[in-house]
Amino acid sequence: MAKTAAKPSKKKGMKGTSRTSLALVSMMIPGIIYLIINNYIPMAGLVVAFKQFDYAKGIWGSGWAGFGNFTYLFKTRDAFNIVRNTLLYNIVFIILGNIVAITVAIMLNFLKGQTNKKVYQTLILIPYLISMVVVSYIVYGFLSMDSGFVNKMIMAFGGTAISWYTQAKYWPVILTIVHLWSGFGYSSIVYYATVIGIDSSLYEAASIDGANVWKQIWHITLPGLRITIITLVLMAMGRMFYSDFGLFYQVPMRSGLLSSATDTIDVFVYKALTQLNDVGRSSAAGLLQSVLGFIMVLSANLIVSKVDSDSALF
Amino acid sequence: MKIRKFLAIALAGAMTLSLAACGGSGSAGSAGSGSGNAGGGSESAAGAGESTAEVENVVVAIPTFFDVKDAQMVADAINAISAEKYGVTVTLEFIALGNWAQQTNLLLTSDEVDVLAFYQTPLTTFIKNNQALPLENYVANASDEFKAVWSDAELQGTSMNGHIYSIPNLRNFGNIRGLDIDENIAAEFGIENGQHMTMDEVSDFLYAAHEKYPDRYAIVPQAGSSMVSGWTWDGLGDGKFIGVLEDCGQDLTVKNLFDTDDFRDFCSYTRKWYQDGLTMADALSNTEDGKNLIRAGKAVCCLENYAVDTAEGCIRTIIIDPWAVSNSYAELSYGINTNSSKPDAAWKALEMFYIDKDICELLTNGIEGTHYTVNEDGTTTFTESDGYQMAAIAWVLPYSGYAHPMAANGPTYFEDLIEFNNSCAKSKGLGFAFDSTSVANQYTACCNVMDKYYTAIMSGTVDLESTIEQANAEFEAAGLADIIAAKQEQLDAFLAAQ
Repeated sequence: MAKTAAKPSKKKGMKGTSRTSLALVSMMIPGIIYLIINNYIPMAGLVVAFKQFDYAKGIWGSGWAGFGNFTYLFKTRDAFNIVRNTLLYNIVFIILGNIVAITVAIMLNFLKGQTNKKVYQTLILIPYLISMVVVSYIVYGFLSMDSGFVNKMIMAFGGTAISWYTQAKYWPVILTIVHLWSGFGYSSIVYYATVIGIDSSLYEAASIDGANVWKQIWHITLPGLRITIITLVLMAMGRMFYSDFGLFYQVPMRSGLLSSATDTIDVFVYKALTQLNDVGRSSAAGLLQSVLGFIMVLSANLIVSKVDSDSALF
Repeated sequence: MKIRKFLAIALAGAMTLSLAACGGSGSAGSAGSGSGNAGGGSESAAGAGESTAEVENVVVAIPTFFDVKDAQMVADAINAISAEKYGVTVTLEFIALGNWAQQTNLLLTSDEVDVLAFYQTPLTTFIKNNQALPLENYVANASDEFKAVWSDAELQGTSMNGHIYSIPNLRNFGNIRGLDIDENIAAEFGIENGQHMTMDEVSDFLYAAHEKYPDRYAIVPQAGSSMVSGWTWDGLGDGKFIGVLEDCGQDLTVKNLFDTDDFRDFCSYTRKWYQDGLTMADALSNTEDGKNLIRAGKAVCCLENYAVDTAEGCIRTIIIDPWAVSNSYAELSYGINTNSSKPDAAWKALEMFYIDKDICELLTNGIEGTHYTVNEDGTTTFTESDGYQMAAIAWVLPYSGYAHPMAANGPTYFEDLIEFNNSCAKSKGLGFAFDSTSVANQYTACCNVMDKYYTAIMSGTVDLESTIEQANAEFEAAGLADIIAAKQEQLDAFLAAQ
């Protein structure tokens, strides 16, 4: 009953909107044209992934390669290694990254005084704005053999200097720390924006009812953040098969010996393709990453909609 | 209300139009500049009394290390000669080396460039991708002056399967491997420029120098993390050295680099140096050029590959006599884009770069008086202007053999260079280029293994035997044996055909 009643009014509403906001809609046209030209038309180029690309014949004239361009991704022994690295790093980054970001966002909320908040917000955002090339030298400043801060400390306490850039075992930890340091500011500000949107009367009511700070966080702040958390995690999961190229390529200073711990799909593909200069294969890798990422988003969203349909993206 | 709506729509429309116009003016702008160049060319052609219709403009892409502000001025000067004499004008596109590979790859998808250097990416890859136009018909009909520059044997170096794909440029095709030493320290130890040294002598010198100058690194990488660029092994057209010929390319068996005596000998020295604290501890993360570290007083010496050029503040000794790897001619060469819409004009432009003395002079040194002055001994000195300094990197240009050399290189530099090329030893595989298509997957995998270990083992930062063992296990899994077999087979066929 409710449905049939709602329908005509909705229709009427739509009609009304489209008429009055024709001007607004027309303002969308440049943006849509831009999106079509820049994001949709080039998708036709994905066909290159299935082609034996020949520069003289162009995209459409080149012969078909079937799935031939994809095989190198699976034939190498590194395939397992790079997929494992990409997924595990991303899982760790998503979990730890969100925990740190939420913690910081809540801490920001407890700060007293506008100046304090502004100063801290700016300070924690700075690492996010630093280029990975610069970050790699900051890390080098800590880990260098000759003059690195860490090795100097170790030697001051009588230890022997560690050659960080030749031993892969340290790098999962180092890269995680670097990633958290450079990324937490940005995501905590996203969370903070939600935290300050939570109705303050809820907190007042809770404190009158005798809830302490921890209880307030657990029962008010975190539930208030739920949708933001789900959205951000879903978006991060869509990029599970991608990695921060700068982090994995620049920060280890391209030391080959670390590659078992630092090669992700992006880095591996970059290295392989700068050697072979093969357009077909690089598109194949990109296409595969997109398709897998798309599947990840769909399945994660499916799970969320089963558990809590209001929070799902679509 | 109506007026407001109308205004809004009109504004939105205006926005769309202006956006479209932005895009339009962008492309019109670049097209305009393109035709502007062509216009400049035809103007000078008209001045020379030639009919403008026959003069075609050719775009030439040349790699550079620095900004070439006066490229247009030099191009105009070249066009003033070439339009009348050869019926072509040129637009010079200097592309920074950092963007070279990417930008030329994009240029090659269309006919935006006609003549370009095949550089950084192996020539075989350009050929495999069908990016290089076969030139043998042009070469066969070329002028006698052109044929005098490169012999048929030399053009073999840029050929594949009977087609000539590009023309070598003038630079050193072989290299001496030696030690660059701080000139003051060398004098103290009585080591002279051009002196021969064995690896044992190098080692003794390093230990002595380390004792005397404990604050300096006794030895640093040549550049970045690379101890030295190449040594006595020949990758057969493959800079990754996946399967090599030993003994300066004289031994015709293709081997795994890590199993060769040459490699193990070299690394046993560098490992010892590293363990004894002679080598820079952060060699693997180094980004500096070795010679800069020497000049800055931070290092005593570094290994180096060189030909007839000198290094400021250093003396150069010889450890390995000059020899040329099999792909030495193909490492940097000039050819024509397959997508070029005017290959005939492109060839005319390419040919004139190798035969016309005035054009070579312009392309190398720029305009006399503006960019350089000629000294009494026939060498050149840069003027205050930094608009055109390609002479400093003349080895990237097509042919500088006719030009005045820079004062720093001495008056007989180009004669010496040509003489050096003629006299240096050559790998027996000279002209051979490995085609990795049949083993592409194994090749990619092996390149990754090589990237992982090569610089680390060469610099001595890791244990030699255990690391080689580990690397060889990975090579085996990656299919190195297939590559070596394919390489040997192709090499044997190449040698049999000669």
